[in-house]
Amino acid sequence: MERRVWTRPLTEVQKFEANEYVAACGDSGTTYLFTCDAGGGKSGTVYLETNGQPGLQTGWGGDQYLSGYHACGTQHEADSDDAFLNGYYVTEEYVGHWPWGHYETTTTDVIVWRGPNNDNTHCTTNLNRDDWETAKS
Amino acid sequence: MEKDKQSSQPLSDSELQPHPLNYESEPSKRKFRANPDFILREIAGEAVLIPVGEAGIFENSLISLNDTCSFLWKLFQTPRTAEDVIAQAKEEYEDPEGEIEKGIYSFIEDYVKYGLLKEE
Repeated sequence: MERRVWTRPLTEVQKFEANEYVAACGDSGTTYLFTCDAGGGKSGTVYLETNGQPGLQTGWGGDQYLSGYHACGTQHEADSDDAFLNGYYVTEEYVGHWPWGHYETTTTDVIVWRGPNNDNTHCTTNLNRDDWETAKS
Repeated sequence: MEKDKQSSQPLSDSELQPHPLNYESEPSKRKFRANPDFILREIAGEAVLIPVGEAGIFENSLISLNDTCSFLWKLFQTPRTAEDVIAQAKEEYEDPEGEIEKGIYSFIEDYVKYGLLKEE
């Protein structure tokens, strides 16, 4: 049998970066009673945790901006198979007397539910899914 | 600028950094084995290493091996010395450039450095 010709051993490493992080949810078939109350109605913005680094980073290489947001205060029935994502709710407040004050940014960890059609933004500060109420079947 | 005469003198053997595997002066008796946290699979005709345990720096990575790398990886599934592997490679491959020994020592050195090979 003809022998192969030796070539220099080459190893190529390709690194993959996830562009979306999806929070694992509970048992399939469960309906959560998701209360959208993060911020108590105060307008802010929501970012999704997408870059894998703890905490919120904005700008180049940072977390993904999702949308503007204010809590609707409604308790929704959320299917456990829907997208529940780790994110950040960010508000700004002017502190002090104009024009000598400054803006203060507050960042709050939230879980974002995108709604049944994956096109909305509802947030809760209750990060422990084991504590979420479920609908009685 | 005047050249320093000493800088043009070759280094003596005692001053030279020894090659980690010392392949020029004596064969290595150290045995190495492939890290079991990586398994070899063929995907679409390409040999790839898949991290299945503690991946370390290779987390979220795809590691592709060429034919000779894949051959060496399979040999190191059982603990072997560099000598063993060189002998096997010479049986398997034609080596018109005389590169087998050097290539295998470099492979071992790099793979040990990155945790893909473990010394027994």
